[in-house]
Amino acid sequence: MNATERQQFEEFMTSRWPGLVRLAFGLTGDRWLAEDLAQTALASAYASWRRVRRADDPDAYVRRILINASKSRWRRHHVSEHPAATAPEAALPDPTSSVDDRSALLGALQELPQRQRAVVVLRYLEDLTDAQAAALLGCSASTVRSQAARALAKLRASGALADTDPDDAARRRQAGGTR
Amino acid sequence: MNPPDDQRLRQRLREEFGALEISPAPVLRVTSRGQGIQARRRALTAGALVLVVAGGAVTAHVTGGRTAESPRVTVSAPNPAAPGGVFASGTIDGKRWRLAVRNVDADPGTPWCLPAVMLNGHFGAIVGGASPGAFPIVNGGVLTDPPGWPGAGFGFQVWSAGVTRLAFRPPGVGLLAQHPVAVTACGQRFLMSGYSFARAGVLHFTAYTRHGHSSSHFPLPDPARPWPPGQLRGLWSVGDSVPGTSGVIGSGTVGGGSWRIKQTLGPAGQCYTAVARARGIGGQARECEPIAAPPSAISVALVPFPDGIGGLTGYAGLVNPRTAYLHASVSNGTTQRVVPVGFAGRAYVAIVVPPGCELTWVRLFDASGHLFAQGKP
Repeated sequence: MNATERQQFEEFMTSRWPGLVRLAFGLTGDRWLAEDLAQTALASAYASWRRVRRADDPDAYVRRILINASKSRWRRHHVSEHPAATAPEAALPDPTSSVDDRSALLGALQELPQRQRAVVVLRYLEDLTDAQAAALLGCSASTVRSQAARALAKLRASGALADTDPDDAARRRQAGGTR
Repeated sequence: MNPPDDQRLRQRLREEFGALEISPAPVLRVTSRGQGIQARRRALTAGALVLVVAGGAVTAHVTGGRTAESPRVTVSAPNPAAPGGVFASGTIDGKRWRLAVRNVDADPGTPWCLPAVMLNGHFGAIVGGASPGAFPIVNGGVLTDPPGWPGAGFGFQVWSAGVTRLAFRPPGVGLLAQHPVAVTACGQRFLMSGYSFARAGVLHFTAYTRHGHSSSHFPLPDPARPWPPGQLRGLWSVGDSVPGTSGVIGSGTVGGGSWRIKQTLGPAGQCYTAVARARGIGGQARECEPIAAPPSAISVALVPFPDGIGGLTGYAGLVNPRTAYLHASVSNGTTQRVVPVGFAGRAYVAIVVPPGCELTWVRLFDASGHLFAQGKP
């Protein structure tokens, strides 16, 4: 890689880093793993930078690497995905802890099967079309739609989509909203 | 599909993920990982070629080499007094290991201080530079397969203030329940824990505070291979927010060309970058080493200059911070007087010798002009 290509890569990386970390965080629910996955995806992109920058959509290329890395990690460690058994000590829950006390929505998101979680993140956070999400996930657009519907139903059932602002909820009720 | 839920989910996700604090893009780390991937691909390509040529003989050799068993690891209960900064210890196949926080900037008593975790006095990992709001782990690192410890992995964590007890389960070691060890170094207090591990797996931990507890886990890599792939042996894999220094430690002209050597101390280790220009052609090359404490005399690495630019040979490294100047004898009979350049208390030297020559002897002098150390570097 020459100096110009290196500079191009560094500019690409700097501008895409926050988005990739957010995407990875959505897929894993773990900030450390998110940064590691984003690094993995970008390091792979660096190693194949000439091919990546010639791609029609370099962003899609890197997202695909990240999603595949996330799937590989999940395959390797899914048996251990559950939190560790705590030591035999009594303790009150800590509302400020960063890992276990994630918001209801993030918690519910992590309860979704891996593919549904990916669909939710790509469709609702990344604002990708069904076709774009399908291309990244290696499935059909109709599968994306059905997975999204199932995911939404589960999130709704979990209460994670419930209104948290009472005034807002009241306004919705007055306006004949669904909740 | 229910449109309000659809919109609500989109809005909620944006709120949740928009509030996520994201560290700056670790460009150096990613590019070095990328270079590691490229190197591994090249090695695999070369390996495949050898296999094609050598056939069954090579296959038999590889199979025979895969019989090593994982080392047997023990982790001792830590001494809360942290003597010598030691916060974790144990044995690997009967050999004692210790993780300690020590100053890698200069001798005690000097104003410079940069705390680093070291394994038996080697392989430093700078601690500090926590991400704002990080909880319960402020900082941490993993070291796999360091020189002298084949197949062994080590890890450490720096915990947030307020963490009073820990339970963690390194793969293959079992549940460790202990208090974090408070180590004071460089005027800072670090709550530390450490461990060794002999196989890949998931490290589960629970940190207890006065208010409750927090549990999580993270994967530990295969301790028998460098991590991340391509990583320099003896270099910890740490966060990118660790502090460091960088700057030019020497420059000059040789044989009609000019050269410059720069040092960088940080997550990539102790690196030296040689830049040379001769006859209108320029280039640079880099050499990195694990982070070490200042030597009692001198410790230099060979720093390659780009091929085709004058055939220079560079040496860069650290000297005892007492060193005011040194005399470097070169194999062509000349002697160079070199003054160390200080960065945060670490005294660096850069020496470049003409094509075909090598450094044969160095003599170190203190500020009073007294020779206090000499030898072959």
